[in-house]
Amino acid sequence: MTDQKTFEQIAFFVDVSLCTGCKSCMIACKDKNDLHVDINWRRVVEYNGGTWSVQGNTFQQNVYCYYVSVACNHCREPLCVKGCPTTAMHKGENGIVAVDQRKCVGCSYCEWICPYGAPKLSKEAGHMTKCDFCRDYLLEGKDPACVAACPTRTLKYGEVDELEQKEQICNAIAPLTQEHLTRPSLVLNPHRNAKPSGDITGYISNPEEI
Amino acid sequence: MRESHTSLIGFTLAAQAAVGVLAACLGFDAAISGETATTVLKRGLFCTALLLIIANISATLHLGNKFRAPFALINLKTSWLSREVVLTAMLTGGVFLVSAVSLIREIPHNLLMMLFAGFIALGLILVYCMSRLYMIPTMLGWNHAMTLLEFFSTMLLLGVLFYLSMIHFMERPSPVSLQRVLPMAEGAVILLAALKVVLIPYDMARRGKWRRGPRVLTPTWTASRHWFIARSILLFAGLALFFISQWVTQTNLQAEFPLSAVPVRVVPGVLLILSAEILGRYLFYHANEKNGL
Repeated sequence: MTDQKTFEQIAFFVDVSLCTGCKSCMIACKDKNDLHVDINWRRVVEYNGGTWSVQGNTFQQNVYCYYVSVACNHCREPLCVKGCPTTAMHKGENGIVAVDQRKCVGCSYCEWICPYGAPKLSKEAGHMTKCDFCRDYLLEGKDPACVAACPTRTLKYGEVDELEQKEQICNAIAPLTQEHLTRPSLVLNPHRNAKPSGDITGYISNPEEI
Repeated sequence: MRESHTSLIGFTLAAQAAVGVLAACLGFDAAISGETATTVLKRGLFCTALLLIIANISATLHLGNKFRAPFALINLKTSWLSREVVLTAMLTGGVFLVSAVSLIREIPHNLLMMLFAGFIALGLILVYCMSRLYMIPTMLGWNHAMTLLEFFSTMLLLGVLFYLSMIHFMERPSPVSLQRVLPMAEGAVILLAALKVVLIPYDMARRGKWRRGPRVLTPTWTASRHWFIARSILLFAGLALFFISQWVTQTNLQAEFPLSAVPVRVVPGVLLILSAEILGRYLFYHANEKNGL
């Protein structure tokens, strides 16, 4: 067994330029947490856009598509924690935003207020559920399930400040919302065709999966 | 935004109507004289209590775990939802206490008016908290001053509507002291319903603006635009019925049009406007887009 991993503010790093959209992270998360078929704590969003035109005898196109793997970003200023009426949603050790299941009334307000739609209501249990960064794995010194399952090493994790010091990073690209809302603990290496947050040229092509 | 939200529609409408009934009772109190005024206030109190029962049951039904509801009182510091829950509990407790006391012993009219003023103040803060909890940056259709306007106008419209129904059905034929207040209440319904009709295009434009912006996940607004039109028609029809009722009264045409028959005069208009408000609240929850995932 390896040593327990501790952080001041833990964060995911997503190298969007490497992601092939295989969704292994989604499946690993679902499997590890035994999630209901309707609930995905980690989702892979397919963002498409661009068009084509005829110029003389040739077709010109600027079509693009990239994948953003997103779960709870354990924000530094989480709106879900602020809005939760019961204080069940709280920021705990390692800066992880977690649900106290003994307090949660299952009102779903955190799901509305979260720009990433991270908290999900478990109708069977009657309370909200969400990514907890595989706290049990971290305690055992292991990597979170999604990170361990990623075949292209798109997903990594670490201390947010250290990850942010890397080059060519940002905290938000389309279709994610602008980072000023919640200051997400999310560090991205954007795809070469990535669009800025608030972009209106593209669209999410797999809405039924997220 | 895929769930039904029926319980939230029930809660918000019933709670707003309850505050509106209190406001209408106090607002029209000066137009009623004698003992009837106290009777109207007491009936108003019972009507409010009934609406608050519906509101509280609906709110509880919305929760995933109903037995943990008291936990929702904890986070007053930062959560508008927690403030809303506390204020609803305070208002319900206060109204039920005064209703119970009024059944046992006579409460002086002036004291009753003061208690009403207190409840209205509490209710106004409640409706404000209710509006603010929906004005969140992640919900583009809600994060707007229109939410405040929508909730407060619904509060007044439903309040006057329930008040009008209440005094119509109180005693038939209505006592002379109530005859003065009937046209005033109907006039208020006409003004408020007209305001609602005017607001609908702004509401549609606000939601449509976001539809034209980012291409979003579900075409909720596009699918709902027919319902916006249906809501306008319902409101307009209700408004027209109340207007005709007023016109007949003012021009002494009751002999030709037997509108003095209570159900004919009030019930269709009330039902139409109430349906429009329920549809409006349904659209509030469903014809909306999320800023984000």
